[in-house]
Amino acid sequence: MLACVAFLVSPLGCSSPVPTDSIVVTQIPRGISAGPTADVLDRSYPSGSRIVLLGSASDPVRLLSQGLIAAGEPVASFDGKRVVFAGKASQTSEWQIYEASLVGGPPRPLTSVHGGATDPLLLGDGALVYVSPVPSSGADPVLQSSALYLQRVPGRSSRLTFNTARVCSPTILSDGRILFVSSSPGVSEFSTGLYTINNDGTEVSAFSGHQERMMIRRPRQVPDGRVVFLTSGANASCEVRAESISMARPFGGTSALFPACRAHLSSVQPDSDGGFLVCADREAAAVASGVFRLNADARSLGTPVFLDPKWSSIEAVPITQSVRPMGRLSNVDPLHRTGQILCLNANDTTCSESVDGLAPKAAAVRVTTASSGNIPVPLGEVKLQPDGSFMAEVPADIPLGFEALDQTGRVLRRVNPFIWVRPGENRACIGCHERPNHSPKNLRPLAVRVAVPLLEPAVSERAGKNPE
Amino acid sequence: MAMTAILLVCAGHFADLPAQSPSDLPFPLIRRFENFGIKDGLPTHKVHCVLPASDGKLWVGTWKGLVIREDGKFRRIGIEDGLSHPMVVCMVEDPGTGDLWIGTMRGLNRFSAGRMTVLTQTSCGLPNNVIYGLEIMSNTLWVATAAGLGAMDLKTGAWSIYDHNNTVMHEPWVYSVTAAKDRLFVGVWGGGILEYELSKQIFKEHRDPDRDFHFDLVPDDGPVNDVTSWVAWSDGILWQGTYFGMSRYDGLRWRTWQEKKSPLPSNFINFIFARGRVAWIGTDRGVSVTDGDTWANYHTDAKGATIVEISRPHQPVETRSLPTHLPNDFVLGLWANESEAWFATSDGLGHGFLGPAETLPASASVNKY
Amino acid sequence: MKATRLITWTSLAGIFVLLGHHFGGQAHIRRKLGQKPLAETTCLNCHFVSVKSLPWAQPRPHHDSPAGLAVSPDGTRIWIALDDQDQVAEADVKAMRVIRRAKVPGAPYGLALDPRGKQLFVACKSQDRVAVLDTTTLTEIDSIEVGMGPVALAFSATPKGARLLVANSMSDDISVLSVSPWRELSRPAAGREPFAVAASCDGTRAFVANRLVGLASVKSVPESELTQIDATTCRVTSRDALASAHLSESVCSVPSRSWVLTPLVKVRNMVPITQVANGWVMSSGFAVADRPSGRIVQLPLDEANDYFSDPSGVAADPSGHFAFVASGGSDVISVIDLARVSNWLARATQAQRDDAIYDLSLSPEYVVKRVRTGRNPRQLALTPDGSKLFVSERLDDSVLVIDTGTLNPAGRIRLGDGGRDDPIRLGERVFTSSAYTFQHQFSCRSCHPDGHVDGLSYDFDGDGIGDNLLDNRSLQGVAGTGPFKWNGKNPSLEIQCGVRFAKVLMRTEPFPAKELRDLTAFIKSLPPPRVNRTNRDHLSPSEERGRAIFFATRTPDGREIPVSSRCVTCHAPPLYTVRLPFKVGTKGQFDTTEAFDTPHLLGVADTAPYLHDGRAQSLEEIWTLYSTNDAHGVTSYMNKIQLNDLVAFLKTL
Repeated sequence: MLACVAFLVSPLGCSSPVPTDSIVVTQIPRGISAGPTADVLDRSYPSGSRIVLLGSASDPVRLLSQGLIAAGEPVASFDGKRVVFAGKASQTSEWQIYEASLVGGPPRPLTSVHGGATDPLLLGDGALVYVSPVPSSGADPVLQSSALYLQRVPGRSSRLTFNTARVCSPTILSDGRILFVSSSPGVSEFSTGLYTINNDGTEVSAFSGHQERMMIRRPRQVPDGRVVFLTSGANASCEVRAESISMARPFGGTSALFPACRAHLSSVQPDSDGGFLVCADREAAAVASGVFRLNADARSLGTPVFLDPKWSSIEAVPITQSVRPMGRLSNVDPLHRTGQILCLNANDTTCSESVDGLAPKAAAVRVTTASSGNIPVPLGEVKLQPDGSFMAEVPADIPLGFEALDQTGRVLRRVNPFIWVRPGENRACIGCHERPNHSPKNLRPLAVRVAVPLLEPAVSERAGKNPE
Repeated sequence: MAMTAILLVCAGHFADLPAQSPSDLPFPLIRRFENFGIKDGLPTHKVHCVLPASDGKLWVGTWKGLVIREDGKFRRIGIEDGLSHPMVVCMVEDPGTGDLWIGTMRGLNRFSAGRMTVLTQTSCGLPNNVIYGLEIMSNTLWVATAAGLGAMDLKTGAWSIYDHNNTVMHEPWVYSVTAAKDRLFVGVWGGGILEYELSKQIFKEHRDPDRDFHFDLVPDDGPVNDVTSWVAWSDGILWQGTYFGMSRYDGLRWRTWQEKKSPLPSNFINFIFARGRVAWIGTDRGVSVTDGDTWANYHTDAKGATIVEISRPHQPVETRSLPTHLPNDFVLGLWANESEAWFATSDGLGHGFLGPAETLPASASVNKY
Repeated sequence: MKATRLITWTSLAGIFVLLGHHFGGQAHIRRKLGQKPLAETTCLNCHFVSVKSLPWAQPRPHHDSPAGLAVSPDGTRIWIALDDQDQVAEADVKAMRVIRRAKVPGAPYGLALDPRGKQLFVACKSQDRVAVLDTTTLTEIDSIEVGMGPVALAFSATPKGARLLVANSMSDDISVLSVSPWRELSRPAAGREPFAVAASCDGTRAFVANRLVGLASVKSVPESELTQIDATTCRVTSRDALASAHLSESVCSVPSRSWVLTPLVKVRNMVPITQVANGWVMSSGFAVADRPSGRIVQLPLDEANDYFSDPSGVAADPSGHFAFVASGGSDVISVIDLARVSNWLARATQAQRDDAIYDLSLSPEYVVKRVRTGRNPRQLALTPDGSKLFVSERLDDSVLVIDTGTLNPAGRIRLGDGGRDDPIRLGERVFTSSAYTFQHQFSCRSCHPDGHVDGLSYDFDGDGIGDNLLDNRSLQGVAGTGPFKWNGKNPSLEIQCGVRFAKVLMRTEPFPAKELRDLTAFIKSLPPPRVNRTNRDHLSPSEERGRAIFFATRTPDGREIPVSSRCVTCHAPPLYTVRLPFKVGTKGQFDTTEAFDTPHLLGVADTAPYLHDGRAQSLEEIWTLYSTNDAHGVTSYMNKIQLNDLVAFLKTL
């Protein structure tokens, strides 16, 4: 099919139909090592890297990142007509998100944000989500704070995530939620986990258990009911593995995606036929990476569907018309500055810190936020009702943490500032450190019958509230 | 008490008279009692009503809830189990479904296969929450309440109320209701008896002709008194209990009894259970059994022993002693068949075992009347 | 013609509106209401209201929607109840086609067969009867009156003879019939809205699934009931509570195990609806009732990120290996490995069993396959040898045949065209589908079974989290009664079902325009619930007296009832609402308004509980407990007989 060696790049600016079953590929030139890099994208996509459309025999490779010195992270639209990707216009410019029509034409910048933009994602309604800022290459990227942003109109972005963690690799789930990777709160510094938000940043939730000392990249939902992703150790030299999580039981652990196939993977993307489009090479840097189609039970990479000895193909995205994810009307009320939180029972917890295995009972909860130094700062305390429930009105769009306190004020359990509420959002949980994927018991919390306290940061903290 | 004294005085005098065989009685006698109280698992000593159900379970209504006796053990069902009020006054079993209907001092309850459903005067068409009597007839639950007679269609749940506004009932205080083939008899406190003919939907009033509270000036001319405490019907015979005597009505003729003028042990009648042509009468002075002619009165003598006085027409009263006691002479409810009887008393639950009773020792025969 | 009429009426209405505004219309309104209206009022609130013109009173297309199924003892024939057509169809299983049909008046819904396959018993829900069909001729040979709304039946062979147990959905009871002689032996009470009945494998007992929770305080945990009957004695022997579970539409005994299975919706109406994720509003599951021990365990059907809504039919194969549950909202049959269920139950602690239904990641333990079906799979039947599973695809007018060996579809019996040209049918598809809600959690039907009520009050957080219960109102007979919502803020069904519904409940995006049009067409086509037996044609004396009270302008002692306090002022016929909000003294502590929309009263007997927050469990309680200072009509003069008469009349509407 496309198992050819392509040397020709089609003329720029032409308008040609997109062949069915085509693939968009990120290529980096072989033999060129990345020079001094300002950020992590410079390292992953060195100068000369590009986005191409693999098409028909007559038009085998169509350049989509025309005019950019580097490009990567392509994402195709659900109608299969365009692609968005991260690109860099010059050595001194920052990475921004670009859009290119698959039928031809130069790429169009979609963002122009300070700190750069990366990890583009298209929602079902065509809106763009991206990550900013692009982590610098100096410090450990896991420790660098970043956030997801939503852009419906060019130049007007709104922030979706509001903690101090490193957030990256967003993807869209069929139910309309944004699945993303985040460094996990309160665990070792190299741990990451998968989290979800709605398309307006509400209902931030853990999607699965975090991966201790592992980096997660490129999560993608598969129609068969799994989420696949790449994991690796913190060092660049660590082996990259493809793993999967069952959507039905996401906290039930991970499974190797290609248990019988040994390969060095750089990307895995669900294909339209139920298999996977994989960029890999057999012998690390010895030969160029190619594009392969694999099934989960593949024992080897087999024959590449695309291989170019001058280029390493590190990302491949199939171009098809795919099912549009569910949309969602936003519940965010911009007229509000606060949101409400309701906990059904703060003593419903998976923490067991006592000898008898039962967690000590809390009498109150302290709500905290994060200072600029990532130190929890109290917003206020709320007494628990006899059933363990509490409610509070809290400032919107700041990181929120919780400390369960006993009668003496001793901290029994702690969740570092990680979640947030959006303006006007009513957010509820079953308990503190509640069991994942559990639904609540049908009980009326006593907290809904009492006045709701407003917890506000001290003036000094309010001054530095906006992470932007 | 007065009768007991007479008995004691005369006991020695008639001791040499031959005792007649009790087997010529129109009803069996109680041979012994087995009694149950708090120590046996009842929640209180005050028992208001008792009903053996068709499934073999015994239901006991007490001052502190409903009690079920299964496999010889008592289990209480209280307001914490959904009962509307702890004071259970009356019960009836739906012969079609086996559901138990329970009247309390605050609401009507249906107990069906372990589930309690409460009906109150505010939640449905029930006339009043104070319920004294229950009866089921023609797929209708009839409810005697402090504010009229209620009738609930057991298929539709629709209620009808009969009281002083829409019937000849001149007092709405209904104490009892009993089914009689094609009609109902309703005992009205202060209003005598109402007879309700179902097919014609007509009420007919039976009142004490002399309207006197304390004296039955002309015996057998109608109900002995208008203060009806209970009515029971069986085999064509209606029995009326009042606090001033007892009446019997066979559809044509009335008979009345008052203490001192008849073997009736007390004018204060709490309850009547009718079976065949025999009435079991719960009074404040023990239990009486009669077919209207022959009587057996069970009560406690001065020594604290339970005796039975057998009165036959035109014969001296025969007294026999029982080896065991009725729990208490204040009898609020009872139930009987050919082999056993249950007694709800103010001091426990009694269980009487019935039989020919030849084994009961004859102690005396006294010509009282 | 229609257009002319529409123009005429519209013109007249417009003229009246203008006249009203310009010539003292407001004064007239104030005089007629006895008070200043609390919302925009026009002549049309009280005038030109005709029931005959409402959509539900118009003729509509009828469809071959399959309801109950019965399979012949040799597995070669299947009978299919077609309630919308008043027919029973017989199909050849091998040929997978209908071979003949019989006319059976009365909306035949449930089917049962005698063990020899000679007699087919048919529950006719709109005529309150059970018909008997000779399967040789497929003709009706007998009929017997039962309770109201019979929808399911089961044949039971007892030592005292054959019995037929009938679930009467509208009278909330069970008719126990003797087959020979043909008579009703008993009619014990069931739970609320009994909807399915199944005999035990030995035929001595029967189990009844009830769709709605029992009436209780809105502050208490709702419970539905699994009813067990001794078919020999006709007595109910147990009423097992299914806490916070309802909408059980099927029940089956499991051969070779002592289990009874019934699907359920696990509802969380007492928890403020701040979200729907994680089954915060409801989730789907099934109950395993172990008969000897009386132990019931509720198990989830859903997954952590996908839900299988509106579980309806359930069937267990003769070997007791698999159970099948039809999810009517998700168009899926879940295949449950019962050995795995057994193993899990054996391993689990009591705490884990109690917790099971809340664990959305548990179902992979025992659900081994999800088989896609056509639209709205509801009722199931197996061949006696268990080799084939039949699935009524109600809104596709077909019956799917699944090979239980491969667990794959093996064919389909076509009954009709699916009604693809009928907006009402298309709207019903939208109504019953969970495809529009977040993670397919529920459909419109999940709260409005058959467009009616689920008997619950929910705590919406639209005006903040608080103790703000709102009674779920019926959609039956709702056409022409706008505005909607208890605060009367939604002027039309299109708005009611549009953005607001998407934001508050679906938590997705609004219905597409075409789907919304179809959906509202379906809702408007729903007639008010039937509350009386079909053979009733006049009011009883009590109902007549109640009618006089309802329309009274004076109390019995001659005092005038203020206009604003007359029943008929706000509940004016023919819809028994003037579609305006009024203050009736029921504002709760956390309510943000004291004026509530006036509900229509058509079929009100069947819509308990009552008042905006469902605090009144019965019509009586509206006045005995919750009407202070005659705020909800002057009723304080009434004695109990008069109140009963009024309620009796209301129950006829």
